Amino acid sequence: MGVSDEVLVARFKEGDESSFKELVERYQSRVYSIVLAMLGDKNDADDLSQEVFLKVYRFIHQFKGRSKFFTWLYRLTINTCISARNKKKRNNQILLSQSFKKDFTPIDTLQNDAKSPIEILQNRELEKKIKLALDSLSDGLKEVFVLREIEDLSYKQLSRILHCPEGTVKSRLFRAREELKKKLMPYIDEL
Amino acid sequence: MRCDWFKKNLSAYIDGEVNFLTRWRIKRHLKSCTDCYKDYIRLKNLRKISKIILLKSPEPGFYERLQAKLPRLSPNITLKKTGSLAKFWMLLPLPGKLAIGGVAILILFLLVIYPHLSGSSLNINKFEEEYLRSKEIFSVVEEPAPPLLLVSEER
Ligand SMILES: [Zn+2]
Repeated sequence: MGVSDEVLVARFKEGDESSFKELVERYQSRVYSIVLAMLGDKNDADDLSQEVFLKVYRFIHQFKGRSKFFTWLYRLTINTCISARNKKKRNNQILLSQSFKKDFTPIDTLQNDAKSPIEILQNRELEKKIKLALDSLSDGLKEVFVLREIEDLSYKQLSRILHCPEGTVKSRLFRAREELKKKLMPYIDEL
Repeated sequence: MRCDWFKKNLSAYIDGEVNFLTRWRIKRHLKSCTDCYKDYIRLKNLRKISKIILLKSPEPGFYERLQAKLPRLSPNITLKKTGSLAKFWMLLPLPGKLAIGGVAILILFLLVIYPHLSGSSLNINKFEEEYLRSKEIFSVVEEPAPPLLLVSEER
């Protein structure tokens, strides 16, 4: 087993940049996946994931170790996504909706022509549909669903990251899955 | 009505976030109810598909790209530099810190407190008594002899 997050954070606080590198390499895929799922744009996801780690670099001294490092990191990631999303919404609302209409067909009108799970998952178009379905969720439902599916975090850990009771985590996950289930019914019935 | 309760709890069930009794009830119900079982399979498939779709890696060279942005920040960053001893102490796990603390207290006890508790310790009253006794021995004052009186007997 490698060095714990806590030790890496302590070393990094002491000025050891190689520990920061190790933390980045340990979490870059998960942070990137969360950002990509939250924003749905590859270029934005790369830039924003870097922004998350720049914040870690800059504000690591604000992390006092009262919670797990990943709790702090994922909270930071979610906050960064939400503020970027709001900023983008304000600046680019019309352009965004136009590009979505052009690139994607609404889920409800899709025909399920894939034959097996592998074929389904290899279908880039289907991937877009799933992302579009995800994008239709509110931020509150999406963040809990994305964190749960990417990280397999327990309801207790999720409640700490999202600052809400475990009961809220449970009901939001239920609602998120209900909405996704309805939108992706033809695909998930076939698997 | 009965199925509603099961359907509401299926999401937490697949996450392993229900108590033993609820898990047992759902498991039993899924064996007998095809409708809920179908819903359960849909949830599992949604989960399978989501995991594959959601888990992604950034383009190679993520850290290198990030590093290129770090130097611009460095004037604002104050990463404290401390000595190797402080570093050692910080990285030492709690049991190690407790052990070192315990040894330090023991040494302090043996060097400072213990000598005062033992029989050979300095006792000021005893010292004073011995001092006075020694003074008594060495300062014997020789008193002058009483004058010799010649008593003449009168006849
Ligand atoms: Zn049922």
